[in-house]
Parts: sequence; structure tokens; C-alpha cells
Amino acid sequence: MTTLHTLNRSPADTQLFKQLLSTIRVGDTLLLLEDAVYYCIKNNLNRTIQDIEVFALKDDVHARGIPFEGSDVKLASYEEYVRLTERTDKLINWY
Amino acid sequence: MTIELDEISNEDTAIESKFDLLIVLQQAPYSSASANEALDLALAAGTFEQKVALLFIEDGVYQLMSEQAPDALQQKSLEKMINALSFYGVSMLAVESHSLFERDLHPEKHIIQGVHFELLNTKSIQDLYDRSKTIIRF
Amino acid sequence: MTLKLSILVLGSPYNSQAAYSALRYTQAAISLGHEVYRVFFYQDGVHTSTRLSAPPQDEFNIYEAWQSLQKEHSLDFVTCIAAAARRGVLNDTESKRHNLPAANLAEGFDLSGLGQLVEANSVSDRLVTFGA
Repeated sequence: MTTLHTLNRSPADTQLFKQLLSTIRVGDTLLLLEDAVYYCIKNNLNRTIQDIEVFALKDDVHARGIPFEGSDVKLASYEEYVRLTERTDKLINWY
Repeated sequence: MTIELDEISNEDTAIESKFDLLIVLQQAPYSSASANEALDLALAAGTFEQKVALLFIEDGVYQLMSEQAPDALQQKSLEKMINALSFYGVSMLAVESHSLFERDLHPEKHIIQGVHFELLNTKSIQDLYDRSKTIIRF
Repeated sequence: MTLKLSILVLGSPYNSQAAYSALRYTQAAISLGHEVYRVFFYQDGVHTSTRLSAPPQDEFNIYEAWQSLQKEHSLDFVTCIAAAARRGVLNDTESKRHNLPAANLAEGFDLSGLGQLVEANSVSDRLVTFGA
């Protein structure tokens, strides 16, 4: 079973991120949206969650002026968010 | 409730069944309507004969303090609502043990008595998520 | 694979991005051919369903966007009756029942109980929640 996790809080909400980390598994997908796209600036995100495919919502990234070059995170549109929902068995929204 | 904070009491009975809905309560009471509206949803789901589990985690464990007197703030008693849950068929009330520990809360000293809570560690919480179709956080 | 989706909006239009993100997701889901079974507005999300709002003309009108999405696709929009009454969102019936001077629930939204959220969850493949 694979789960799509979405996170919408900024990196300052460490408690929420801690809850997410304790639940996410290898093979799951993480989509960052709203203020969670600021995780794209911190390159240590991928070291924290290895073997998880990470996406960030494109419009939220662009709106906030986040430098994206060199990031391992992939950009996703709202349509791709829906497709990720389709592709996984389950959804957990973290907010 | 057990006294050993990082031990799980009834690991098997706690997480055997599947749930239609897991309601995660992560906010302290009274400063917002969050706790009330989460419990309203739990009661509604129980009424409609859905299998519901509640997980109190992080500041949400403050909702379980035993000496609450919310009439001081002209608010309704959460304890009454929590007591009513089992009558509405809410099958499981879980508490993350580490959240209690981090907050210096002792189950037998600070937490509502007479209601059965499962104390869960991180691993058991992951299982609870796995067994729940939908998760709503408050 | 076509999914039956229900959407839960918990955040208010100006204190969170929830109502906007939910709007964009719902539009995308429809455009990809998925069934949106119900959109449920709860907690501060109920503020999305007022018809008495007037954002400045040079700003995006989130209320109008939701209303026209509902109309265009005949979607089932339900606002929690208790959460809405607490926050001053009422239809004609509720306004009269509480003996209040006005009603402000937008066209296309229904006031109903949490049972509608519970039912939506039980029949949908996914409940997609937009929290604050």
C-alpha cells in the first residue's frame, strides 16, 4: 500500500513534520504545498527522507519566489496533485 | 491506563480492527473551537455507525486533563463529550504516550479517569494510520 | 482510473490558503474526469459560503469562483449547519428560526449536518482535506 502525504506548513512547524516523518514509509510520495514549499530551500530535506519521492506545488513555489535550481524536489501542477492521488492507494493531508 | 509511559498496554486489541475514520486531535482546548468541533464530528460518525478512532497527540493530550472547569470561560465540558463517545459507538480512544511524557503528564495523576485510553508508541500509531481509511486532523 | 472524490475545506479564505488550494484541486479533478461527490465546508471553512462579501475589484474573488464552479458542474456543496450558525452564516430558514434580521448563505450551498461529511467519506475513494 502506498500513501500520498501532503504537507502545507512551513519548516517552522517541527512538531507536524515530526509526526509526518514517523508515519511516512519507503515507496510513499510527499507533496509540499502552500507554506511547506519553503522546504525546497533547505537542501537537507532529501537527507531527512530518503527513498521518498518529493514534489512541490509549482504555483505555490513560483508565487513565493523560491529558488528552485539544483533541488531534488519535482514540481507538480494541481492536475499532477490529482494524478498523484490517483496513483497512490491512500491520502494523508498534514496541516 | 498503564504507568509505564513508553510501553504499549494492549498492542493487539488496540489496533486489530480497521477504521472508516481516524480523527487526530493535536490542539490544546479552549483557545479555539477545534477540540469541540473534532469531538462533534466523532459523535456524528459514531451515530452513523462508522468505525471511528480518536488519537490525542502533541498539545491535543491537554484535552484529557482531569481537573478542567471550563465554565470559568463559559465553555462546555470536553470531559462530558469524551465520556459520551463510547455511547455513540466510538470504538477507540488512543493517546500518544510520548506526548504525555514530553509534557510531564502522568496518566494516573493528570488524565481523566473512568475512560479507557490506549497508550500508543510511534510504531503503533503508524499501524493505526495504516488501518484507517481516512484521517482528519484538528 | 476514475476516482470518486470528496473535498473537505477547514480554513477560512483570508486566514489560510485552504479555500484557494481546494478550489484549484477541485477544478483540476473535474478537468481530469474524476467525480467530485461532495465539497464539505467545516470549521472556519464555512466562511467560504457567504454571499455577503465584496473583495476589492482588483483582487481575486474566491467566493464567486466557488459559486460559479458549483453552478457550472452542479456540484454538491454542503456547509456544516452548526459551524456556520456559530460564525454567522445562515440561510433563510435558519435566519428565521433564530429570529435574526438577515440571511447570507450563497446560492448553490446547502446547510446540513456532519452526517453529510460522514456519508461522503464512506462512499468516496478519497476525502481530500484542506486544513489551515
